[in-house]
Amino acid sequence: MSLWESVKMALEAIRAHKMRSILTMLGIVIGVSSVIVTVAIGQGGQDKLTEAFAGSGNILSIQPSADVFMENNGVVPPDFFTQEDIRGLEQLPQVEKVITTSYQSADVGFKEEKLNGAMVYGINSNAMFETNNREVKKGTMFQPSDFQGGGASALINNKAAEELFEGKNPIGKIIRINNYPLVVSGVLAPQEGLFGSFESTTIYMTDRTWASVFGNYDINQLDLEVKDASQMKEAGDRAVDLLHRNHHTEDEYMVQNMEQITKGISQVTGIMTTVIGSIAGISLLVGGIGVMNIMLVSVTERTREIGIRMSVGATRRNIMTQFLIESVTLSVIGGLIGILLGVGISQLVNLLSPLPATVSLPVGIGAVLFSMMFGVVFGLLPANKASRLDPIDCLRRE
Amino acid sequence: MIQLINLQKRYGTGEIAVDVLKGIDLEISEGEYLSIMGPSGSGKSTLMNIIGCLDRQTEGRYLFQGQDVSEADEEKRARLRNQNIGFVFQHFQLLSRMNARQNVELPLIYAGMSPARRQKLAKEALERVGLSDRMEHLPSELSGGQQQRVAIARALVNRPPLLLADEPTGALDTASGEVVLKLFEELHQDGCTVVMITHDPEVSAHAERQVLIRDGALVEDRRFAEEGGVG
Repeated sequence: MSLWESVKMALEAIRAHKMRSILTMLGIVIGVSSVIVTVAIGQGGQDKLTEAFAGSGNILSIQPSADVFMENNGVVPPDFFTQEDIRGLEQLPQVEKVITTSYQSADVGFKEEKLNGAMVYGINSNAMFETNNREVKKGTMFQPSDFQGGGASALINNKAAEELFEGKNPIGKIIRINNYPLVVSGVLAPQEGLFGSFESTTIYMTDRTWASVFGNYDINQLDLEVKDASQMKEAGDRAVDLLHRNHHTEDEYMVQNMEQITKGISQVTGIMTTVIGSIAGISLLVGGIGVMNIMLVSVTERTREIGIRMSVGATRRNIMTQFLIESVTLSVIGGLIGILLGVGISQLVNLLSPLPATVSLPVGIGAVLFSMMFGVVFGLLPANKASRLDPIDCLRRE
Repeated sequence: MIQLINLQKRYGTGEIAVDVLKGIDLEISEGEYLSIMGPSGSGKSTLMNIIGCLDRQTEGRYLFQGQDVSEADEEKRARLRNQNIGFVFQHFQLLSRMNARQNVELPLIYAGMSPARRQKLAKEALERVGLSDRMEHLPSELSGGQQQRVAIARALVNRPPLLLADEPTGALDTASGEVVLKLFEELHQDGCTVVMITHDPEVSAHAERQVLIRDGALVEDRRFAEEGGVG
């Protein structure tokens, strides 16, 4: 008897008891779909966390070694990155762009208003805004020409706009930092994502303007945008070599690779997903026991059928296979419906809630294989029971 | 074809043990039409179950076509039932979910036959028992006599050399019973060995040879020769 025929026979038996089969499958359906949804939400959360921490794109960051940090009380020392360093790094074949950031806290004034301790950033490109998906909600972003000349324009974030201008239009107004006048050219939309609510009052200007305001070119953070993700390691090594040569040191510079952070995040979220997924898995287990229960009832109900089949030449193995295939078919159908339901719910979660849910193909395949395995495991006991029946007893049943 | 030597069957052990068959010696040759008679509880059904390889004896030997089948494993006995024995039961024992043709196909499924060939043989068998117009009917849509004819079609579809019938007319009215007995007669004419169990002397009279069992022992073995002589 071919496998396909056995499956057909199983489908007929399942169809013969529609209501019961549907209720039995329901356990598997709920189990599989809840596993898929929890894993999807876990995966989506991981993606979102990774993006929030590490940003996207091939960015690596050059930082002082731990010793240098300690000696300077946790600050990047002045002249740690020089203009010469930047020009050198830009020459590296793997490097697409060198992104520098200077920051310092300062008091900001507008007419009589005064804001104490705002963060003032000097940047050499819009890269920082691009990686964090930030846009202006009013006014204009820095243009390439702004980075060329030393124009006195500034972008302020939403919080600064609220505190300094109290609802009035800040565009074109003049604010003062260190008595240096700056024209507000734009207001940034509030930052989305996990860290949005932690944002402090912030002013952005080009690196040249920053140098004029604070009278120095000190760079606090240096990131490299690498041309190709496969060149991350090489680019980092060569950049650190170059900096060591320029500064005649051997161990003051190091690469902070976002990969490590990403790895850490996926480890944490992975554990969380596993824990929640296992709880969902328990419902799958309960569903499997439901299949076993119904199959046992089915065997008892169909003893006469088993007897008839044996009398016309079915071996015990035939009987066993028949019931096994029936339970596997039942579980796999339930599993497939569960996948559809799980994907559907994940999409709904995506659509209706801030939680992102990413369904992955391996989880779907795993779910099908798993429900198949469940069919075998939980079909084994009933099938074995069926195959051990005495044909004479079976035929005596009415 | 069949040789039973000192065949015994005991149910249970120790003090509560019941001897159902107490040493049966019986030889059935190829092509015979034999009836096994006896009152209920005489052990005739047990005897049939052993002959049909559905049960095993406790003592003695059972040779089917010269082979000791009680020694055979389950797999081999299942194949023997499939290939060499056709069963007809008192209560038909059809699968209610399947139509007549599907019921008749059942032994062929376990013989590993292709669906097309199965269908062809099943149709032929149903035609032979006169049910060509009832092939797609469920058992519940058939009369008792028709159901029993489906069961006979199922028993003969694999062309087994031995047909075993346990009270085949027991649940039928006289007219339907006659049809069934006529079919047996035809099968016998075709060379099939027919062994029929019954407690009805009238039914038993259709056979060529009559074996009487009482309390688990063979008490009488009569042959009606074609000319009516006693063997």
